[in-house]
Amino acid sequence: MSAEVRALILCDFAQARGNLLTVVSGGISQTTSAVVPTVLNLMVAIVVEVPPLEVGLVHELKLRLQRVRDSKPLVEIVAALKVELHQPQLGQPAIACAAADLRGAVLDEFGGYEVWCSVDGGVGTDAAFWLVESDAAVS
Amino acid sequence: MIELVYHLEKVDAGSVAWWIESPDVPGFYAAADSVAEARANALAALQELGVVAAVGDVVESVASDATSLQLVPA
Repeated sequence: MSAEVRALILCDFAQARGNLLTVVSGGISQTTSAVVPTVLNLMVAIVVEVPPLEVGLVHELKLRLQRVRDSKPLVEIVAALKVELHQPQLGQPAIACAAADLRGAVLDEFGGYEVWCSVDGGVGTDAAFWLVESDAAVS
Repeated sequence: MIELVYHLEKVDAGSVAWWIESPDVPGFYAAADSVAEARANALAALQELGVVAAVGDVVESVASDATSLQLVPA
C-alpha cells in the first residue's frame, strides 16, 4: 500500500492549513468565457491518504492541467508533501491536505480540460471541467 | 536520528531533480529525479558511510524550496 490521492476538488478557493482544508465553492465542472484565450480562475483542493508506514516520510505530489483533446499539458506543479500524526494509533493512516493554485493558467480554446494529480508516481486521480462560451453557458 | 532535508529543483521545462542534504553529515548530499530514488540513494550512501542502518534511523523534513515548484512545459 502506498500514498494515494483520495479527493481532487476543483473550486474557487482552497487553502490547506496544517492538515485542515478549506474549500470554497467546490465541485466546479464548467467555467465560462466570452473569448479565448482566457485566464483560468480555479484552484484545486487535494486530499491524500498516507499509509501508516509512510507517515513522517516526504512524498512527491504532481499535478497537471491538460487539454482533453490532445492531452497537451498547460501547467505542471511538483511539490513535497509530508504529514505527521500527533497521537498515532497502531495502523492508523494519515490524511494530508494540499491546495494547488491554477489561477492565471491560460486556456487557449473552448472544450474539455482535466486536472490530474498523483503521489509518488502512482496512477493518480483526475477531475475534468469544460470551458464554455458565455452565451452557451447554463447558469 | 539523522535528519534528511529534501530540496526540489527544476532541471528543464518538464522535469525536476530532488536532492537531499543532512545537517548532521556535513558535505553529504544525494540526488535523483524522484523522491523514492533520492531517498534510496541517500540511505545507501549513509549506510556505506556507517552513519545509519535503515530508514527508521532518519527523520525527514522539507526545505522551503520544495513546498511547490511550477513547471510550464515548452
